[in-house]
Amino acid sequence: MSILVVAFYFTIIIPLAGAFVLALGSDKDRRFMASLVMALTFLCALLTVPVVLEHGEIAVSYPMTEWFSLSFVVDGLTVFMAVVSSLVAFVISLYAGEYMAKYSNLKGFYFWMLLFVGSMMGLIHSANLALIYVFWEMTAVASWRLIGFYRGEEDVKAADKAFLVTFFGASFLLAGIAVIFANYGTLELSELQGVAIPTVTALLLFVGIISKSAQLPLQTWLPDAGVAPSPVTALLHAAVLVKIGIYVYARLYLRTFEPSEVFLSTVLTVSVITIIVGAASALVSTNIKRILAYSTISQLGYIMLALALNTETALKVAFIYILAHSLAKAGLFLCAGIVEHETDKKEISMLGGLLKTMPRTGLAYMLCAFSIIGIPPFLGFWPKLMVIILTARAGYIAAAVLAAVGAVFTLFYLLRFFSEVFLGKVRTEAAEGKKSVMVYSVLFLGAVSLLLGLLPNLPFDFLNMVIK
Amino acid sequence: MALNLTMLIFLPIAAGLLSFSLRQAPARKNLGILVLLAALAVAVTSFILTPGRLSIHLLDEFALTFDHNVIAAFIMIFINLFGLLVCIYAGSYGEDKKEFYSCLLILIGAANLTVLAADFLLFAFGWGTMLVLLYALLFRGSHETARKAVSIVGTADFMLLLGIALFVALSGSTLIPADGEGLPIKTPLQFLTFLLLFAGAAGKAGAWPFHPWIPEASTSSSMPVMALLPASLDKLLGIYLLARVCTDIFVLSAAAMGVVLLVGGGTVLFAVMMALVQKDARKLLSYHAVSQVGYMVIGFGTGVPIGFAAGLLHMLNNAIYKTGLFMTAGAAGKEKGTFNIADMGGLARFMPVTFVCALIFSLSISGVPPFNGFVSKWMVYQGAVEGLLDAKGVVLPAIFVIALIAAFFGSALTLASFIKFIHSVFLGQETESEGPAPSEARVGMRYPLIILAALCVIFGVYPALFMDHAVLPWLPEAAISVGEGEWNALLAFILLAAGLLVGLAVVFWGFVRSKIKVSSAYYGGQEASEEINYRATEFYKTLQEISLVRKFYGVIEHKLMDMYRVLTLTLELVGTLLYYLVDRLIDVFTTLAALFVLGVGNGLKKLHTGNLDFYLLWCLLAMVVILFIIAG
Repeated sequence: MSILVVAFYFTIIIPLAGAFVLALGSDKDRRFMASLVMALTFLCALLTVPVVLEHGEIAVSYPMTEWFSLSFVVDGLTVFMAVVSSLVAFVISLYAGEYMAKYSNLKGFYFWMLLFVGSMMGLIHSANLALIYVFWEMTAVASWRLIGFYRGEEDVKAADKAFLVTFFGASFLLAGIAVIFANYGTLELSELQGVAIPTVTALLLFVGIISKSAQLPLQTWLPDAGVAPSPVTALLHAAVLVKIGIYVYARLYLRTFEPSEVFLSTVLTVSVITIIVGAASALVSTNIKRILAYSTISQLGYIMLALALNTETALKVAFIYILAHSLAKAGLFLCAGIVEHETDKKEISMLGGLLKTMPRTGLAYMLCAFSIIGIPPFLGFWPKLMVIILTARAGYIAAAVLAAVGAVFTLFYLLRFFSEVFLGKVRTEAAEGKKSVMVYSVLFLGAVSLLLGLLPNLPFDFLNMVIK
Repeated sequence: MALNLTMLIFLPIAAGLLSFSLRQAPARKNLGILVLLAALAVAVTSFILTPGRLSIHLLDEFALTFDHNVIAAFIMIFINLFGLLVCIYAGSYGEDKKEFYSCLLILIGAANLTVLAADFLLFAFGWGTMLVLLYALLFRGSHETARKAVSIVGTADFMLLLGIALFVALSGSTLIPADGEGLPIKTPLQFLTFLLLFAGAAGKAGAWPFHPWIPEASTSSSMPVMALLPASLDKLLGIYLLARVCTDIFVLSAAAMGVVLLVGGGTVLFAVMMALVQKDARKLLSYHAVSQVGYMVIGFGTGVPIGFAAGLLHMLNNAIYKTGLFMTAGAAGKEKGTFNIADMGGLARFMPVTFVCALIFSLSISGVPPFNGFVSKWMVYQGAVEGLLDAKGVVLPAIFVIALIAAFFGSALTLASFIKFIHSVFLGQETESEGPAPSEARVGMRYPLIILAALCVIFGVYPALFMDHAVLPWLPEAAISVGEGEWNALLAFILLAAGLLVGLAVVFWGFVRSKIKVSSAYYGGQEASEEINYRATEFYKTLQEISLVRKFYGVIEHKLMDMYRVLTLTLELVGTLLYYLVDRLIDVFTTLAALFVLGVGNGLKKLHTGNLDFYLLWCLLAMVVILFIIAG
């Protein structure tokens, strides 16, 4: 068992080292090796499960300066996030192998992608605010380069926007961290536990969080960032990047500080407005990736809403939501990617009738869409219903009503997407590959969403075991 | 309970999945029949031998609990029975695609799960799963109708979920109350919760305004699909929930009764008016499927035990004859190759069994004794009158009167509509059509019809079968008045049967003893010919010419009452407003902020000229400012 204690280091080291090593090989090697690196990362994340089951929580710290230390923690939150993120990242890397095959010189692509995953893993395990900030900005730089991968004028503009908005948020985060250091003389999360954080400081950190997790009013970078290659969109904007903010929120406000009522009410209000505005914008958008990006904004609102309730039950529900959303939204973005890859079109008015030539992609889309909408027997149903129940039970009736209205919007825009893109008049002859890894990837994500929805005790029991 | 779960939920679902991989249609059908027979047997057994409770823990206060109650167990028998009959029928109808059998079996599993659920989470899970299967079944017929159906029913489902959330907040537990002592509706929150749960039930049952997908689906989907979902399962489950809402979950207040009665009365009248002018047999039946829900809803809206009993009995009766009607229409349509009732006449002589069954179903739905529809409608009236006598104030009694009038008037129009249906399809002159002459429905289609017709008679003559064993033990107050006004079904049956026998004797006597002259038909002294033939489809044309009625049909034609259209337009309007007024506005501010930073940067850049004199000038200015500060 003792050797497994170090497994979490490898979830960080393997992708970070892989990023540099892969820069040496050819594009063909990179495709295979990137998936291998992701698989190993996932495996190492899995190996941390028995550690948490046996020890509950492990903390290691290597002090560097008064305010900075290489402090890491392995607990229920880290295990869950690491397993989910690395699994989705692995599936996306398989998909990317085929998707990116038509582009040359993928050195940068794989470098930044692996660097991003490594930074994400580092951030998940960090137990020092300064260290969190370092990894936070590393993910920002990696996503900046990945969003602007095509280097066209629009791509660079969107990438700059994403970077600048998240950096704007990060500067608030940094200010918050500085205030915390000034007040308490430490940035170690273990030493800050139970501290009643002043509302203003909490809000400073929260601005950083909402910029990363695309909550109102710092959300507009996310739809624009859909110009990126689809694996990037799936990885950054559905499965992993946007969850960073959510995760840091949970780490800071449900595991470290004691937030004030005023702050929690603010978070709740922001999340509910985000749910509705995100869903409403998705309904009127016409670009397939923008629809899904707005959908992400809206769905993250539900997770934030659960966290704003500030209870252990709500925290667990939020994590099941993260799992459901990561799987299904990655699936949806990857489906959109297949459509875009095969047709070179993104506007729904130019698409139609694709179910005839892309039946498996259409099926995978529907599986994932049902999960996002929150229809049983898909996984997304459980956390969505629980969030609404918990919100109502906490006495926030208006918020519960708006969350349900958001779900109706979701039903309408995802059905509209399916009808416009996969049904109706055939506008293009483009077809999916018969033995396409991309298609199998999306089918896998859809099937897992269904399977875990049918057997909800699996994810819930796992969560109950690791988060006590 | 473990056996129940295995046989009633997992077995049908597993068989549904297996069915998808079977290549031959008969194998799929036989598998379905076998599994549903087994499920039916277990459902009957579990009704007699009450199984225990089972709970699966999920998270803190959230658990999935299976339990058993008498009304659910009885409904489960009919879920599996209807599933079985549709399964037998579908094979002969030609609906033998693997998706159909898979969906049917999984649907039955999900429906069984829904009624076995003792907590809201599990209930919502089974309930919502049926939505996906509805989409899958309708999708095969028409994509657009499937989208419409899922949008409407899905919206109702989310209303139900919100209602569940609010009820859990009110009661503090996720368990569905089962003690028959519902919460009183006093506060606005309780009223809202009631409305949401009611909307969920009405949405599933297909009451107005959640109905528009049903008539559309009838023309695009096959008759087995219609017989399975809108005719039977949706009604069984929707009304089952309504029954729980009106007894176990809430005690209806005057306002709640008013809403339920108005929706019920509105549904009866609106749908029957629509049915009256339909030219397609499937659409005609669909509107009646909607209209009949109104009676059940009125029953529950009365707030008295006999009304609840009426609602439940009518649910069961309606499921029996409506499934039968869709099946007869399917059989007739299959023979004629059309569902346009103007082109279907004279089928009775070719399909006598189907005709007799259709007649029994038609008389049942029209509320003619001694068939089952009459008994439950009678009880609805009885409940409404009782409720009216109990009602206080002015508004509620007025609503009771409106609902009663709607129910009576609706019943008359239903009879009128089915006279048209029976006459056009089975009587009258045979219409010419290409292809072979029509013949009696195949065995696989005939037997389900005969079983359902027999049930119409059995439940008409002996309604106590359902009342005594399922409804009365479940009702909070079992004291349903027996005495004045109580319908004595057996006596009525004997009298009617005697009347029928006397009538037959007279006819027989006339035929045997007298010489009957058979001559051609005349209209106004002129021999009836094809040109002046007055078709049954034209029976109620004059009705449409009444000004008020014409306006009603005009509104319908423009889809102003189509919930899907209204919902879509509302969401798009709200969506557009929020998108431009919030999202885009924020984006404009983001861009302006970026431009501001750029502008400041560029401005400052211009100050860096590289000219020494310029820098010295700045220094001088700064010194002056400092001087002023120090001095001042």
